[in-house]
Amino acid sequence: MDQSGAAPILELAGVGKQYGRKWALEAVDLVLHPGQIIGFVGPNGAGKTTLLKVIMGLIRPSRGNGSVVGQQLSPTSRVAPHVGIMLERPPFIEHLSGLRNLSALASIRNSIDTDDARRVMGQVGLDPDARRPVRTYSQGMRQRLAFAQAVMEDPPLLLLDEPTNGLDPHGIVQMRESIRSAAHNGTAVLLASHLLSEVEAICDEVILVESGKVIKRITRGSIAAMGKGTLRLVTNTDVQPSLIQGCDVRIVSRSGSVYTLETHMPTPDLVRSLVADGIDIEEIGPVGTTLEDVYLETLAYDAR
Amino acid sequence: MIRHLAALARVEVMRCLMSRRWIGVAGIWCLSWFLVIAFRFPETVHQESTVWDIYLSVMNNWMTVGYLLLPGFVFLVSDVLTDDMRSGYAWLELTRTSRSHWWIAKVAAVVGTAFVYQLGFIVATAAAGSVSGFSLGGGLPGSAPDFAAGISGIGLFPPISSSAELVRRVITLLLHQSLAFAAISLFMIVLTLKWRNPMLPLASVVAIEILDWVLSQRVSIIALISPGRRLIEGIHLTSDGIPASVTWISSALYFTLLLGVAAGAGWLAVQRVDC
Repeated sequence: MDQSGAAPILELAGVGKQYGRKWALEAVDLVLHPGQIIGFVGPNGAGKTTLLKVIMGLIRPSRGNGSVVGQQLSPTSRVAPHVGIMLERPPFIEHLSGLRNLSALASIRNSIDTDDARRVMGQVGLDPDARRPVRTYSQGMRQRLAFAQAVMEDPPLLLLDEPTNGLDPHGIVQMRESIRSAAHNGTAVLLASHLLSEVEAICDEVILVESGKVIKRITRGSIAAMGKGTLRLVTNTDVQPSLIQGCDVRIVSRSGSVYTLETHMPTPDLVRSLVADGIDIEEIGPVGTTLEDVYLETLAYDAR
Repeated sequence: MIRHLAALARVEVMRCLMSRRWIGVAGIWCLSWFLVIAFRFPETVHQESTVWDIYLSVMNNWMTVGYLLLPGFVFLVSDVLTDDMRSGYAWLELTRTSRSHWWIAKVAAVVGTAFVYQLGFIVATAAAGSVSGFSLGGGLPGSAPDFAAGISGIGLFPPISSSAELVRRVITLLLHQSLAFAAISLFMIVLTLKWRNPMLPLASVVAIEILDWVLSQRVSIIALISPGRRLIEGIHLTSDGIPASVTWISSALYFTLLLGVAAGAGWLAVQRVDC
């Protein structure tokens, strides 16, 4: 549940990280409120991991400042920020069972006991009584355990790096629900992923990054708005521009009997005009713009 | 705070003790026994030897201590930082504790593992030796003619006159070598904070041992500053060409100081390093 009115859990202003002459991350501004889910999307080497490390206080930003769960950004902080982290390739003590791994990590902060760890394991679909060592876990099981590890101490901020990596379709749905549930309970979530459909499905806002730079910010509403005015028409009539001269419509593309049209007319009016012009409409409807479309369009624009 | 630190140290020690590198360590231990028995033990006294003759011979031979046991331990713990940073386990821990606590837990893990390594070597020598037909050394405590009649008599290590002395020397070696191995290894591990290569500590310790050996052939005073020579038991018990100040006490102070300097340098580096 997005609590935009509440104080931000994470606030970054102009944060950048330089290695030698290369900027791994440039001037990132980010505000994340309790219950909000923000996606961080970009190609390999875009700076996603660097950003996560800066937020965790593991590396010192070369410029900019910010706060994480009420603490100023600093790798020399005496107390670690209360952050739950899930890595793309989750590391564990391979010889121990899932429960013993969680118990070992939980003992460091000592804020939960073994029963809590068992409960969280159950919630992510793992058997807490299974004694098999983690080295025998499938990738999907490791991901579930990693998520359990990240959320078990109820952190106010969750950093998730490719959380659905290696999960089967059922697991992906469960993971999506778990992330939504955490956000619903007030946890702020920063999600880094290559899976654009996943990011689009659960994020309130998406930040596109490339080579350490923020290329674009997209809200859920703005993606829907981007599709407005574009229609998909299926017809057996050979639609020539001259045929639709009287309508406020433009043919963007054609593939066989499928046309992509751009118009400012309300759809019912357009349908009436097209029928009046003798076009047999088999199917007509809005073209849904996806995050993938925006992502590819943005990167193509950037490349130009 | 102490409780959190103890919990973290327990996790770190457990991870070191569960390392797969122990398999390699077992091989190194076997090689050290083999070298001593095959090349140092005269066949004529083989039947009269005890497992303690094997242990003390290993601990008094520069080759086995300096080029096998010490590098074996460095190999065991050299990746405690690099592996954590590579795998991301450090991330999981550092979001739950401070950098200072994390480093103190690492130091505790190296010291604890050094003790287990030395104790493990004693137990393994006794077990493997007795299975191979060597005597355990007669009844303890009391006089033990085995010691005087065995390898002791040919000078592989300073002779032992009683079981009580044997116990005292084994315990002294256990504690001293634990401290020394931990101190030297920690010094090498700190280097990996700057250069993230897990093989660097191993290469460094072998290089230092070689340099140590070459220099000490020419200058006897080198024993005062050399970590390698102080690992040999006999240097503390005899005075042939050895400065009088090399004693168990001075060695313990030497390695405590080395451990303190390494721990302090590591603590300073950990505060600033990008993990």
